[in-house]
Amino acid sequence: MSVQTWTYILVGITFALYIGIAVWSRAGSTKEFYVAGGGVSPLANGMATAADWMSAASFISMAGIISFAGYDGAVYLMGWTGGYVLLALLLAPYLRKFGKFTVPDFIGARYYSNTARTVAVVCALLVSFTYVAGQMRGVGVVFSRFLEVPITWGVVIGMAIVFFYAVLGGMKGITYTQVAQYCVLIFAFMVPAIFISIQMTGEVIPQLGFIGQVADGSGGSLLARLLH
Amino acid sequence: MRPPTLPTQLQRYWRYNLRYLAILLAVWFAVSYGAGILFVDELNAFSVGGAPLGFWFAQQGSIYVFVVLIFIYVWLMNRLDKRFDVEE
Repeated sequence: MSVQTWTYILVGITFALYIGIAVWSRAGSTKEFYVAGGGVSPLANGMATAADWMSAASFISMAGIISFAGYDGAVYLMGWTGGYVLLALLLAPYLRKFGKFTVPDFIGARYYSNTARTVAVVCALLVSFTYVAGQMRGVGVVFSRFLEVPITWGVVIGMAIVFFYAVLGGMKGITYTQVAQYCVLIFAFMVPAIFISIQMTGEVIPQLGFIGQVADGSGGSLLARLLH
Repeated sequence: MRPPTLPTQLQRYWRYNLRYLAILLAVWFAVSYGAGILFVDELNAFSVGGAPLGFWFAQQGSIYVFVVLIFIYVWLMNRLDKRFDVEE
């Protein structure tokens, strides 16, 4: 079978998987819709959050920015991951205990201030729009490459699938489709990294290969070779 | 039925909470802004493997420290909760 047929089959399988998960996790109440009834295990939540980090913006854009901007691109790495520390230390424990559904609600109730709540809403909208714009562009690029459609159609197809499983499944549907995406993404990240590391430095663990010597006998460090 | 935690106890709990946050966030700042941005040139004089140290901190080291910080925070807070009897 040709590559194109395989592509359609695999894309079709992933769509069917997401739609199946959405139907299985149909939301029945507001609490279920917004916070999955509070019943998602920490491991699943962690996988879903990781899938968010590893999605189009990291796989396509961040990799690209860091290779083109070089050393300065490290700020994206530190910022995005350092932000998780801030979340874990300053927001997440209190958000869960408070019982509100959204961060702006929590801020408004915690500080007894509707102004704070409005500011939080504006921030959330700005961040969400920026993030979604980048992600949907990534979706469009990937679909246009694999399904051989114009980028605009790629974006529309992606939007339609996400709309379907988000509206039907709510937070629970989104979380479990993210878990499925995590499994695919961790594999997609690790395989090239490990094999490029093996090929260039003979080192299996990419983080060690990054600081290691080049494997073709000349003995210089990989970074010195790449950066000059 | 557990006896309720007194308000002064809760104040002490909160003070411990803030102290832990201050220490962990100081480390967070030192490793990311400090080692990766402010003191990069001084740190680049040393190296780990084939990478200058400042560069390594920006690309990998800070992220390892972030992960460890989160684990340390969770362990500290669970221990604090147990001590003050407010665990979930």
